[in-house]
Amino acid sequence: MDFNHCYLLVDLQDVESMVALKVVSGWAQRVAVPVSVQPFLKPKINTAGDVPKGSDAFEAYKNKRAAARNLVRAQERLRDLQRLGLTEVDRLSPLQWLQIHWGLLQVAEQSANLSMLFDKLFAVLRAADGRQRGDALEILLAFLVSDSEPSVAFDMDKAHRDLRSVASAWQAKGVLSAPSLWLNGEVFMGVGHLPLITDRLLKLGLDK
Amino acid sequence: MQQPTLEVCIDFKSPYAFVAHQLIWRLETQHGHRIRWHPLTLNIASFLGTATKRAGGGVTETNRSPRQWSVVKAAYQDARRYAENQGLVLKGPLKIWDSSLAGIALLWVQENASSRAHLRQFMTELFRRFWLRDCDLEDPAALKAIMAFALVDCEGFDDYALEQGKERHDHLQEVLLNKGVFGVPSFIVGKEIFFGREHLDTVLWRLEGSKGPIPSPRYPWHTGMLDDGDHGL
Repeated sequence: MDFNHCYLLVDLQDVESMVALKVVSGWAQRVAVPVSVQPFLKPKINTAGDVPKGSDAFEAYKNKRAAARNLVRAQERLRDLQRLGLTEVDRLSPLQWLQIHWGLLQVAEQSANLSMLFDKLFAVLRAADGRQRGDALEILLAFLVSDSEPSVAFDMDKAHRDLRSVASAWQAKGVLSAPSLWLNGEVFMGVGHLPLITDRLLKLGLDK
Repeated sequence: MQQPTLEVCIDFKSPYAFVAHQLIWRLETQHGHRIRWHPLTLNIASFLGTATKRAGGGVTETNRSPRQWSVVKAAYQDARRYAENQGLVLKGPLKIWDSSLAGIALLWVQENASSRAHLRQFMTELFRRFWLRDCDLEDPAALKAIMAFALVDCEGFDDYALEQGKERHDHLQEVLLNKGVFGVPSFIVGKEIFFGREHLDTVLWRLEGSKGPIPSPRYPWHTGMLDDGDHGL
């Protein structure tokens, strides 16, 4: 990992990660720091699931709290869709998502042009039908793998293995969930930390 | 058009509520949105397990999984960054406190303080002392001392805490949970719930008529951030 190189960890199936990509792409244009996007595909952490079973009242409370959490998550998802200017995200197949996340790995250590990446990804999500989506996906994947040396071909089993391995490596560095940011050994959960990260960078004299 | 009301749910034992508290007050003092504060007494054992520590730092008793410990450690590390930036001291609690009495005290002070400044002073001081490990949230005398410090009349609080206040507090827990409030700080605007201080910009945007693009989440770093109009989009 490079010093002063910012990493954005995403699970693009989650709208919150799409918003993070959009926000970070705007931020990266204002701050002179390289940013790489990497996939982090792990189920959302549910710490309540690890709590030993208790009395009926305790279990009832846990269930109610889980329902409340889901309600707020659904509201936040709607607000995230609004942030993206979408009413719904077209559902891609698991294979297509796998291809996209695998594609991100191919540019992982380079500083991708985030706004171009976001635009191409957005074109996939906004595609009106399956054919358009397939075309947009092809363009996105060509963009992601264009600079890889040696040139790579998609292999489903290897893609699964590589994604698991990358997620484990980030977990070992303290990443718990996506979206997260990583800079100089520090983990920042959620894209909301950009003001703090900007401050850290300004103190290092890396502002434009 | 009538302004939407703003309800804010907090718990004095939450490090996130601690670092959000002064920022939340700005919605009222800088932007004129009067806040109705609700205590939400978190049942931390139900989602993060339990733990007791010695003052020196060693854990004496716990049923937490490694995953729960990672989340707890990350949460404190995160809150501490922001506390330090605000000049606050955040010492990790040595046990999981029952903060219901402090929540009842909040209800009392909200009803009995002679001004909003006194309410704010009570909340600020309670947060400050608790996170310095200098306040027993379960002791009525400690809470009354802070009321006295904030010039809030505490005569009758003991009875209120056992009867009317306790009833109100317990009822509120049901009502808030049924509405969808599960953590703190949470903001209720109409039927919408926002969880976490990273949504302060969006809460303000909603309170002021949802004009322009919806802001992105961001944790305020500089105290003036809520007033700068730059929503990071």
